[in-house]
Amino acid sequence: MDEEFQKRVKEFIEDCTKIIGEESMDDEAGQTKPPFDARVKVDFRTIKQFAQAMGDDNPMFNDPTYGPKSIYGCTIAPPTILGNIRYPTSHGAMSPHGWWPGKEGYYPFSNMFSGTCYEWFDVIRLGTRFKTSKKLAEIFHKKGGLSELYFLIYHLNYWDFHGDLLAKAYATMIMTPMKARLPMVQQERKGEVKDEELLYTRGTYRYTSEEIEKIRATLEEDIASRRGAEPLYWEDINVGDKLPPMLKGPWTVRDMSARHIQGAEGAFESGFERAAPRAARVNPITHWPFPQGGATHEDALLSRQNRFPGPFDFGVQRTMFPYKILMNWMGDCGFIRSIYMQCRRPMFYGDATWYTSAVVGKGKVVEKGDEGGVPGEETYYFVDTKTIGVNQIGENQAPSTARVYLPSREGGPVKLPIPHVKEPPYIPFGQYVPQVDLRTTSLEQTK
Amino acid sequence: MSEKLDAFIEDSKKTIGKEATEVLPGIWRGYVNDFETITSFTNPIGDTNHLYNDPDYAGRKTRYAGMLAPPTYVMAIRLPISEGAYSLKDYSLANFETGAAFEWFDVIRSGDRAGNTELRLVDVSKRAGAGWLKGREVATLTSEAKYYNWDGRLICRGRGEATMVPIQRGKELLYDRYIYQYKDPEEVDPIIEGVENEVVRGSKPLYWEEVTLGSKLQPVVKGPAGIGDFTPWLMATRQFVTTNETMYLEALKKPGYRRTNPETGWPYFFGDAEPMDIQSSSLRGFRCAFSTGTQVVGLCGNVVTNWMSDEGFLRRLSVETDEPFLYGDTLFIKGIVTDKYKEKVGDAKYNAVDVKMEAINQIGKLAASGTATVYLPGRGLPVKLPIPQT
Repeated sequence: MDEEFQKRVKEFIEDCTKIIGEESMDDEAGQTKPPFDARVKVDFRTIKQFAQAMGDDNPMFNDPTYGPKSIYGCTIAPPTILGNIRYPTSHGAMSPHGWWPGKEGYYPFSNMFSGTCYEWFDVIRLGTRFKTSKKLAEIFHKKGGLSELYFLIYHLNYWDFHGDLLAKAYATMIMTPMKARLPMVQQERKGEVKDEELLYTRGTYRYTSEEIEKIRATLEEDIASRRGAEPLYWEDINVGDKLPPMLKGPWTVRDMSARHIQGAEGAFESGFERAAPRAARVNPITHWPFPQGGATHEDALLSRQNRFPGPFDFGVQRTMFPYKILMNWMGDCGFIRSIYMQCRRPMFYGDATWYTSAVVGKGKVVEKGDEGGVPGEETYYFVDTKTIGVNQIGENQAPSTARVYLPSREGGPVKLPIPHVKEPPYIPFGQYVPQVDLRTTSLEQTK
Repeated sequence: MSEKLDAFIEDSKKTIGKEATEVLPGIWRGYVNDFETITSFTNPIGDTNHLYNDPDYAGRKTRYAGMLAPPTYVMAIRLPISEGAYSLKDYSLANFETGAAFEWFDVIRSGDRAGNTELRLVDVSKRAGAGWLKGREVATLTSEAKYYNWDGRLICRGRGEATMVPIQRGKELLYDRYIYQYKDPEEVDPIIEGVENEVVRGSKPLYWEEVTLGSKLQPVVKGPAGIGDFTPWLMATRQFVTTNETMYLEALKKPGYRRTNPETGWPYFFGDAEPMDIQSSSLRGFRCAFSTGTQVVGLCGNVVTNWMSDEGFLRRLSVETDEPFLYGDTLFIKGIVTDKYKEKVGDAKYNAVDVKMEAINQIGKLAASGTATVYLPGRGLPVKLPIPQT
């Protein structure tokens, strides 16, 4: 068994290495050539569903009469809707050419979404249709405390239907070898996962009345913090300024389910069609020997098969949250240029995460573009922020950093789109992401 | 307990005949029923029919020259069930969708703009519970829904039933059955076989002349159900689903749905997703997660639309749930032709076939039952649409 396990782990890494630089076909099955037309269109219903899945009642995203009166002249979408336009990571050789027929049942790995770095060149306006490209760009290995960790770095471009590059992203999936995911082990143990195979062991947290009041008070403060149409000027910002708080949780299945705005991942017969071979995953209670939809996140009985003791969030959803803090703080006139978030600890059922943020830098930057992209040269007045998301037991769950462009009294409103070259060159992940230490819960900018 | 039930009935009676504003349309007036919204609905009912999932097939091989929505898609436009005064305060009631019936006048095409909908509670009454609710006093709410197209023409009439059951929330079981464990291969293989052998008749018309009384519809098998089968129904049938901050606000606005989560102790937990949340389904009196009744109605409709071919028209469907559809349950849904006749509607005559349906679960219990009337083409005579409104 050990030999077979090691063989398959090695094979997975080799097979992943072979597809570096290749277009990922996993969630665009049926199309043969990139860029792929995205299924999700940015209409008002989609924008509202997404905003609600973010816990955001900002009228820009929820009231169809608000956007047309705004500086954009139309409703815009929360920028991180990109994660629903195209899921920004994938599972390497496990599903290189579509989920079905995939090799989920062959490679013995569990996976964890571990972060995204989004960059935008314009706001996403109502009616935008996207074309996308996603490639496995890099693989690297680290030894974690409890497991080997293989990092798969994906690189994405998001164009609109006119061919303008609206955004790009890097995203990371961590694959961890797991013997219990071998089909023979699944069959033998009837899907049971031993406690020692779990990466975490803590159960659902129960809140005291003081903690409940603290959560409620933060939610009220979060909800009341929206700036709206009144511009926040760059000149009025100082390094060290605090942004309004945001609170997520206590997290439940409903919060996770809401992210499926693009339709779900296969239920009943359509789920069965996508299922991996028999015994790829055995339900430990029903003993049904096929994987069931994408439900390991929401299903308290299946989450152990991802090495977690209970339901846990979708990392991609968590990396979508920070825009809300920024948007509430800077108002409609600011522009989010980039957000980089790491998912450093899972968010389990019942967890509450307090997001606190501060301004860690400010300055001016010149952006240049070429004829094929957005030509010209513009000066922007930027502010860098750092956010930490700390849960009820003090874990640094969701640290992030962002750059926003603000209107300035000197330079006027933020000019969009941002000038950029037609095809920005690929920059290795390690050099691309902001050089900010996200391991600490300090709101100082530590390099 | 009985006092709270009476209070609920009295408060709900005040809403009879009024537009049920608490049930928002999933697809509102002016919004286009498109590939996304339709396939978001076909997915949680496991409907793989190309007519409802494949624009290329439907455009080239069907009389409609485009994709349709399955008839039960009207539940994505708006669920046909008002819960009366339920959201106004906590009456200590567990709420269940226990049936729905529809009558259609036309198909719903991809690209059609949704029109107006109307939803009104028409009756609320106290009854003795039946079946798994035997021995309990319950309130039954009956609602009527109307669905119009963009031109203002009625495309469907609906009727929905909700049952409210007094409960000592979190302390009392209403239904004492746990997740079923299957024996592999003897119980697993028939399920696989059922799923793999599912027949969607598709472009080969089923003519009325071919149908004989007592002939059986090809069964469909749904399950074993899991959370991944239940949660998509939530998204498919609601305009949006609030979370976190907005869920907190919704819990404040609708105290009837406000709960204390049994695991975390958070007292602003919004209770409409309890059925699909293993950790909070105890608040509805269950030992595990379960499906909502309207989803079961959608599953049952699937057996008829698979059978009737692209040329058939589902005129009426009525489904009642008899037993909860739990996590891990499998439904074997069967149908049999019980009558065949010509039905006159206005000046038009239709070739009608009546079907009786039963959904039996893996332990042999009747989980849902229903009837359907299908209009089939005669040889050389397609079903004339829309159906006249008399």
